[in-house]
Amino acid sequence: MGVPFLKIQFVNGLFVQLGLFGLVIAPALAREPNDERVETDITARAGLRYDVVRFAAKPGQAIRVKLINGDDMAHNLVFTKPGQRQAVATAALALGVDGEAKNWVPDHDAVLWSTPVLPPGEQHVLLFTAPVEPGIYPYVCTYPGHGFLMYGAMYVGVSMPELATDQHVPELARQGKAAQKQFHAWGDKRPLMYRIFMPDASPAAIAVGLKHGQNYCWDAGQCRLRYAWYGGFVDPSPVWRGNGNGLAGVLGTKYWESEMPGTIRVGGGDSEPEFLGYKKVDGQPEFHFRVNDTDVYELITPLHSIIGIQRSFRIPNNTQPVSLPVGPTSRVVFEHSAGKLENGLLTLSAEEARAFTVFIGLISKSR
Amino acid sequence: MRAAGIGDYYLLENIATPKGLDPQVGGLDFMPSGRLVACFHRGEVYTYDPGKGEWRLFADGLQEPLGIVAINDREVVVMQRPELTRITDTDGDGEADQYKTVCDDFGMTGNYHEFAFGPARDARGNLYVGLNLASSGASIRPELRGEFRHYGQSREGFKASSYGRASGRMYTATPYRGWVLKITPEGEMTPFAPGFRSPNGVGFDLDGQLFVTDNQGDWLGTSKLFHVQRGKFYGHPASLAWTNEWKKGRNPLKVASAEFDAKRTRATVLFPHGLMANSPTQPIPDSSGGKFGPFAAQLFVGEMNRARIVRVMLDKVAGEWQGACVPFYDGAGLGKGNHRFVFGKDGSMWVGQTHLSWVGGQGVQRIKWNGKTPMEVESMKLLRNGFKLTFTKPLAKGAGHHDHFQFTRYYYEYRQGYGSPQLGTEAVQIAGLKLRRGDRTLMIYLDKLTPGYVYQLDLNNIAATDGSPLVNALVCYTLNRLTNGDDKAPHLVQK
Repeated sequence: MGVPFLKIQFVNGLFVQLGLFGLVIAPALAREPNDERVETDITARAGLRYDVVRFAAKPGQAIRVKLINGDDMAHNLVFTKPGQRQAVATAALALGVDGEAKNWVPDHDAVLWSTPVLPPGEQHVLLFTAPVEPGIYPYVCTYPGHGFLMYGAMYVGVSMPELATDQHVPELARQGKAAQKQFHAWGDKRPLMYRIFMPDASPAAIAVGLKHGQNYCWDAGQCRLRYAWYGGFVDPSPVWRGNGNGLAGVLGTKYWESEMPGTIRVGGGDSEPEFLGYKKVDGQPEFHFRVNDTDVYELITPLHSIIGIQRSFRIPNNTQPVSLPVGPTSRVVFEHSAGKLENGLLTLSAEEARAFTVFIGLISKSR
Repeated sequence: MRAAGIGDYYLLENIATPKGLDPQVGGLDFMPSGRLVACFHRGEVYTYDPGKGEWRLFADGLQEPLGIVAINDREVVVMQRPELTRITDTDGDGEADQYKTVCDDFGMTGNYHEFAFGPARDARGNLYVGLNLASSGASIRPELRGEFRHYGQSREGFKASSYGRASGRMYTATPYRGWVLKITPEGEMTPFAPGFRSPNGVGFDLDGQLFVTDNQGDWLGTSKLFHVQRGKFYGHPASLAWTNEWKKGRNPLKVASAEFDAKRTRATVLFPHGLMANSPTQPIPDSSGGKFGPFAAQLFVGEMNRARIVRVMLDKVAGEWQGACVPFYDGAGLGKGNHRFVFGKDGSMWVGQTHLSWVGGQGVQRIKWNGKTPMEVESMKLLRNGFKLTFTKPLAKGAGHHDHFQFTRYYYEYRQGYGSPQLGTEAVQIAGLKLRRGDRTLMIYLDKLTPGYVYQLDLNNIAATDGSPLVNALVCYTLNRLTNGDDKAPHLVQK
């Protein structure tokens, strides 16, 4: 192609570092703006992040961006018009069941260029010409749930601020952290669960981080789901450092919280539920507890078409009617595979209750 | 005489732990296969192949696990903050997939100090755990697990009160805090014995007797080792709230110490604070059968605050255990925070360290005996009119002289306050000495023997016939009762 491969732009006499771990190269490699093409590799990493969170270009300059999926989840990369990152990410969420076919790229006039959704290990090259209009052009992963954390910005003819004050990159990048602090020998991994002190739950709480930035808090003291959020997982530091008197911090946005006390009811009576443990299913806990002498199992998995979770209940050989308090359903997408929903209480016949599912999803603004 | 060090007799090895792991050890055991299994501060359980030096993740997600027992090569039982859990690798891939709650029949307030310790397993497979009291350093959370009960106060009243002063230093508000519990393999729980403050050490000796350590603080003048039996009361009254007698809400802070003193069982061994141990941990018997040196079947007890492991020499007097403590391993490369122990098949001692933000350390170390016998006090037995000391090697000529032995006695008051100074401190005159010629045993006759005192013995300039100097020269004997059974000690109770 005859175009030097440049990872770095020489802008205004300064070396501009690409991303957090970019290389600074000698000025001899800088070329006249019109002769050169900006070439950058952006790798999707575990923990919902791109390794390069910003790069610079001149108006009208040729751009080659290679997205490499170095994570174990699917990701894409979508450039948008200035200030339109959240609007585009939200519109992608609203695609719902159509999302997969559209690579989670919405029909939105702020979308400029996009890659397909890449499975783990794959890569894709985007070739385009930078806009003539100077500005800060965001890029974002619009796969459901990812866009809240996974983004960056292309600076076109605009000088970059200090990274620490750059509001166009994710907070962790601003803090100079490549990702959520590493607390274990294994680095990033999802699903991940902690039994840890959590806000708005009993002291026997369990926090679970599912794939795609989806999370929930399940209470082993009361045998019930307490709330769900999207974004990062939790900050365990307030519990793990010092005397341990703190609560873990929820890293993200709660979209559903059980506002009704009590767990699932099997038959009559108000016996205390008894927590019996869990089995890992693809790394996700399937909780086992006993209500009114009946074994109940609950497995929570992430939804893919929208931000949300699926609660799969099993009550093997059940012979009694069952009711499940599901709390407020008006502020979420709520669906159930069986039973009748009334005043926040899902009631099921004995037979229906042997295996049923409940979906709780985030309502996006444009829906 | 050159200074002796335990490092002349034992080899200490640092075991590297996985990079990125917070290596604060909550529990250690060996699986039958010879893999070490350890649980850590942030909820991980790893196994370790000592031959290859390789760690492998077995389980994760636990809440402050502070004890582990290997059941077989695929299963462990772990005491974590909310419950006793059986963790099993059902498909044999080396990583656990099933976490079964064995017992969570006790309360939690969310107060940080409610640690859960153990389990120790008896010959029948029953598991014994210790539950900490809550600390007045913090309140309780809006949601609790278990019934609320606090000295007759209502839940609302408790919120309104200043939990610090009104509750005492360490308090209880949910069931069985301050108790040792017995749990059958099937999960049936029996509240076994009350009276504990912070029982961070639950273990059996080789004869199947249960020993529990407790930490200096309110109601504990100094740190202690207890021989624990069902139904006895071990001195910290907060836990009594969960007995029928106290159900109606008597406030232990308003009861005279003498009432509790009459009920309590005194410590088997006191660890003088600042001198022997400030925060004792797991008691573990030397099960090496002699591969670990000359202390077979004796108990070792860890210490958090300094680089030390203590040794206990038990003595049955008038049918009850009491005894002495002596430093065993001091410095010589050992870390602080010596928390959990297990003996390997080769007779080496594995040590796991932690700090949990107090004084301590972290990591795993291994101690092996090098085959040379250190000169040490091997046992100390009470006589009618003194003590019989047996050394690990014959005493050098001239050792049987008064100048080499200095006895001091003192006591710790039993009271609500935090700790106790040493009280009644006085030197005890030696009335006579008798060294059996060429023997390892020395009789020391004393002027005064009184129940309810620690008899501290400082040994000076002692060596064996082979010239090796005495390694540890501080021994503290807890004299609860005389050989005639007299255990009256009214001076122990604060008036």
